[in-house]
Amino acid sequence: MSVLETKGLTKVYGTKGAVATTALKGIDLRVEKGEFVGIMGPSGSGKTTLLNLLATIDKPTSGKILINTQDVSGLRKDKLAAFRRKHLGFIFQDFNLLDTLTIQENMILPLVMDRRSVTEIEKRVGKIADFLGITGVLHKKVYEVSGGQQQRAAAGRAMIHEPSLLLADEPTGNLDSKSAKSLMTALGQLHEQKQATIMMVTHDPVAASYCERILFIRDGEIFSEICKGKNKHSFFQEILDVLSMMGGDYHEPSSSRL
Amino acid sequence: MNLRHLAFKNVKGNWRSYKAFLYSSCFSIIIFFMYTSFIYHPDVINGAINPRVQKGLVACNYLIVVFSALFILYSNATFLRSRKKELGLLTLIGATRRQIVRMVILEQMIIGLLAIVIGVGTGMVFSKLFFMMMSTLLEVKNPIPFVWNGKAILLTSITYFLLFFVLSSLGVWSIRKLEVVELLKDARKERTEPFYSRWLLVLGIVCITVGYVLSVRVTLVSFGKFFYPVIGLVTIGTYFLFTQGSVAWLKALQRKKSLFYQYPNLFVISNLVYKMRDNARFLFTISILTALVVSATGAMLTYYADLKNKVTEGRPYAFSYTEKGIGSHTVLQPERLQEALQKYGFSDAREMSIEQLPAKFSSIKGKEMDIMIVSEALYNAEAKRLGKQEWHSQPGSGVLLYPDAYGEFRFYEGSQFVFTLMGAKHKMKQNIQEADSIFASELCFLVNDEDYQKFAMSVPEGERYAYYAYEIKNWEKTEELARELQQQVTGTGGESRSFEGRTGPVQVFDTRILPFLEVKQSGALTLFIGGFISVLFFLSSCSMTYFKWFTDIEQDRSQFHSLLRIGMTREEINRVAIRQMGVVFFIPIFTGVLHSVFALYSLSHMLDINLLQTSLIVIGIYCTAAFLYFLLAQREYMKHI
Repeated sequence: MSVLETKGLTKVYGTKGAVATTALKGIDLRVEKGEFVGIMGPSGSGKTTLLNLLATIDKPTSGKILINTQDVSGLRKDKLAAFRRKHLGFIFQDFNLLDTLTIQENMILPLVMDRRSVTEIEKRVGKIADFLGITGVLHKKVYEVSGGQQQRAAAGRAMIHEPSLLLADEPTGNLDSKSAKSLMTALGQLHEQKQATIMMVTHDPVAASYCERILFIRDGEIFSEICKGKNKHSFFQEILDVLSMMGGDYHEPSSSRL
Repeated sequence: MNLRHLAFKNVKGNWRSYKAFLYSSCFSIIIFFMYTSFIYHPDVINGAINPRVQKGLVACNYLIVVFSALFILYSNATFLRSRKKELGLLTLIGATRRQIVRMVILEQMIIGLLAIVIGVGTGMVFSKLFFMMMSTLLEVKNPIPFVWNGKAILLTSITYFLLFFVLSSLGVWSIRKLEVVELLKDARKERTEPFYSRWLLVLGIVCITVGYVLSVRVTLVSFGKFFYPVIGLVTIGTYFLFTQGSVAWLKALQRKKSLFYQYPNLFVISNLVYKMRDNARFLFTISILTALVVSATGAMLTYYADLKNKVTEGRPYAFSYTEKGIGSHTVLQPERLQEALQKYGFSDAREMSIEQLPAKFSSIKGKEMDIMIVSEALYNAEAKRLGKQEWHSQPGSGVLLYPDAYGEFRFYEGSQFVFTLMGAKHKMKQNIQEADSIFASELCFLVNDEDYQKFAMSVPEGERYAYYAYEIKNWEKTEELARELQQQVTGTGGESRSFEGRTGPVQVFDTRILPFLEVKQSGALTLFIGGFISVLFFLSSCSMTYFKWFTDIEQDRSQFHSLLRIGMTREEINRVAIRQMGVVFFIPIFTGVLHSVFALYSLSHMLDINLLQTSLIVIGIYCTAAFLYFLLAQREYMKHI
């Protein structure tokens, strides 16, 4: 069963008067349940636009997005939020944790929004924190823990309500290499042990090498697609090859553009 | 683009926060201007108006200026704090301190000048209405006309110009010494966990409780002793309740998971912990201000409502006078009086007279005071008619009666009443002291008839006093009669109602209608003038809370943005925002109102009057107005989220 499917997804900016920019030109893609898909591409290739469309916080100019076989482009605004809450989980480059809350309180947000009972909330948060290795910092405030721990907490928040699809936007962008590695390991485990479906935008080839499949986008179109073989190292090499073939600038500004 | 353009652009850009500031400033300028143009109105200066009104208005103006100063200073500080980042950025790109200071002062002067122009202009439009109201209230024959009052315009403009200039310079001073790094730093990044001290919290609760208990117990006599301690205790208690209690309470809520792990409590409570901590001192100020406005307005309303009753209750007769010498008619000629009664259609007035013997006694403070010795039988006959208490003393004893207005004040202590009559010292048993008398302004010692006859023997008729009083059913219509009689009375303080300080018995002419009218007029006047001040205080304190929201707007915005991204709907976020704004807005109002309830209760207890209705009206109006303000303000705020 495909968790995500897009058909002819097109996005044009500035249609009114100004010079129109076509960010996406008819993207067709499919993500099956339990897949870990990476999206790579140079600056301005349309990655962020694609992710925003998939996250349902932006509307496509034309084309369809099916999440769990449901067409989300037809949903009304209030329905969309509820849909997003139930079916999607997000990890952002800048973590997006609320600093008035503790790590635990941040992680349970989706459950609180869904009006779950306290016992269920505590059971789930205990499990996922254990899984992510952040049990020790659960009761600390956001600014008291390291960036890596913050991002793992964010991953916990994205996963706690077991959404159909986890969308990650440059999750390692603000992390040092060690924290990045531990985060990617955690995501890899989520995918392997919990069969989570993950879609990640990144330009970090190391992070990308944790994926099973990578889509390369250039100028709003799918440029190429590679799948992981048995060897992670050779997959990494393959990624680098495609990237150098595509060309383009990889030193993107580090702040989130969502 | 130069500095001036930038300042103009900034005013435009920050219009949202400047708008409420402008309105509130305008309002105070309008009132200041209306009062000033009244004070300097030719008719007023020429003495056509009671000078007391003018003095009252001058006092009000001082109050308005002081309050405006606080308001401007506070608002400026809030604006600057919320714009720290912007100013830091300007410094970073090379603006000198001098340039920034000049830009900020310029910006605030633009707003200030705008407020002055709008305020004075609107004030002029409304002063016509204001004069009309004042003329009606003062019952002036010729309504005070609107005139072009250059002096008032100049005075208002200069006062407020200086106020804006000095205060904005002062405000800028606070950012002068800040480093660029500090200006750029995100205020919330290094936020420490709010904590509270259990002991301070307990101290706060004890202070408030003791303050409340004392305020409930206070009497008119102990008022002076209790006033400052009660105010002090409640103020200290409120301070700790806001700084410690709010954190303690919210932390307790956080521990209660079944409540805390619920939308929207999770967000609201966790945000409030910080908001309350950061704004504790501010909220404390607002709550004290609210308490002040509500209790002052309530007290003012009631005081005058009650004074009207006191004035009439304490004067059972339409008019009365005391004359030295039986049948001397030194105060009023009986024929003239009858004539006047006929003339105004009150020939049905019932006349009564009581003989009094003038005596003296020494008060608690050692002051010599006058008192009239009166026969019980004569007094009781009148008391019965008027529904006042009758007294029956054994020979050798008597009752000390004060006029009703004396309330709980007593001038004498001890079971023996010592007085001198015609130079001879007498001592009698004193049964009771009461403030319940048929006499409006004299103290009297009521004795048994036997005793009275004995005392009367020693006083020749020329030294005795006669008290004449006239009972008229529709006394409300006796104003003209009273004025004519008063003109006839020579050399007496016709309206003298002073309780203390008279030397020697004075021949007093007293009416019921004149003090009643005076109280009624000054009551209406005070309410009218004071009403503006109350509204001004209300507007300013609400506006300050509104500005306070804006200091956190960046944080709120980024938080709400985060929530939106993880799948909250706009409506859900609005609910969170409105709740946390509501708590910050209404908690000080609620606390202030609670303080006022106690203040008004103790006032009603002290003066023995029923304040319930007035209090409810004042509190109701205040809360409704605050609610309306909140609705408008939160809508405005949400537009910028």
